[in-house]
Amino acid sequence: MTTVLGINGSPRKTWNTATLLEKTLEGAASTGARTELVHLGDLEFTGCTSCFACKLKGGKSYGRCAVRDELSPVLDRVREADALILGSPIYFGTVTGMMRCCMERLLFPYLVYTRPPASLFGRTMPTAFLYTMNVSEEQMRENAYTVHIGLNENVLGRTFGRAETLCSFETLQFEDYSKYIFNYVDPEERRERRRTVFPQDCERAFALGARLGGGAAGTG
Amino acid sequence: MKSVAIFIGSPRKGGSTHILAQEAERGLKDRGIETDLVFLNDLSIRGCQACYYCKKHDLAECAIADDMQRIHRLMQASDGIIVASPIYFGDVSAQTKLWLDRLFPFIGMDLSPKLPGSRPASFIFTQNQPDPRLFSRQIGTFMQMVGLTGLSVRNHLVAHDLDAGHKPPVTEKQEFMNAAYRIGRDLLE
Repeated sequence: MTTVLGINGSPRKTWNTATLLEKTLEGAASTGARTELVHLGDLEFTGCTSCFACKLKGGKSYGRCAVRDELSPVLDRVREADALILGSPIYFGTVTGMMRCCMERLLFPYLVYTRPPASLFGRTMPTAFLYTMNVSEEQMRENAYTVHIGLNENVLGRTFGRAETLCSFETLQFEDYSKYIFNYVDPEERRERRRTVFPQDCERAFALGARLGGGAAGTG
Repeated sequence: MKSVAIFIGSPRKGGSTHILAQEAERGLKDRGIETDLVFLNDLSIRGCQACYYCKKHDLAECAIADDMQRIHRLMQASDGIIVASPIYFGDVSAQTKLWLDRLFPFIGMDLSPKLPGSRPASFIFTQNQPDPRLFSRQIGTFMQMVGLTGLSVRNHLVAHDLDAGHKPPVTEKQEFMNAAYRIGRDLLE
């Protein structure tokens, strides 16, 4: 049986990013895959400590992250997975700090400093990254978030062999906007988008999950 | 007496980022400015929890009780800041990104700055890649986001073609050492 692992880089466990990840995993489950979702917000862990133990020739941690904390079992499960879906909101133009910590620890140990860089992952695994953001698609392009997203797709592709991207724009931030200082956009537009566009994003996420599950079955 | 906080986003003590930050610190001290040099990796800083406590109450304060409380106070008390980070996978280090996420209380929902004045912020980036412009969009976005707090983005240095083991140490790259010194010396000018 194939396993599709989801990693949630949002501190919220029930909102936009988590919902889209759940839809992705439902799509994967529809192909018969076993699924699992990890919430990074539940874990105590650090970013890469630049110890280079994963690069030390003949070292006991060669190709593996030597830092032991609550992220370690998650990194082990990626090693065993058949497909991987990462999800994060965009905070200040890039994925959350938590997701960034996870990515460094996940991806750097597999990277070999050859020219061009090689991957120690050793097989092809379908992966995807889904993003939720406050800005519109046009603002994403104007602010060059596409560069960040492209770099992430590139490094996932180089490490695991396959990567795709899904974005959800102008997401609803709160149930009740009246509780917060907010005059950035009209909250009513956001609620309307939540009713009409977000369900379409969920459908795209489901289809993405079905591709990941099916692709994993094909390569596993 | 004026004071400047220097935030180091590298986990590595004695590495290129740290050395260049110390050059900036020397430039500040030569101007009689007090410094606080902070290794972000030594602190316990959780990611932003998106609880929106700071927005609900319109406060430049964070609800999470960890070491970032001290950093917020330090930033409010300093006359300027310097941020030094290595580039990992095309962007600032994760430690630096956690710090940035937690600056959310310093930005209003209408994107109005919450740090008073327009105190200067300068930046030092270190990277292995030999092309200093390779990550300029990402570096530009990072500095622009720090600027949303009300800090005024001043100078930045991209010290390139550096490597922890194989390449000559940064102390032999006089142009970077000088530029880092000037970043400190000129920050409050």
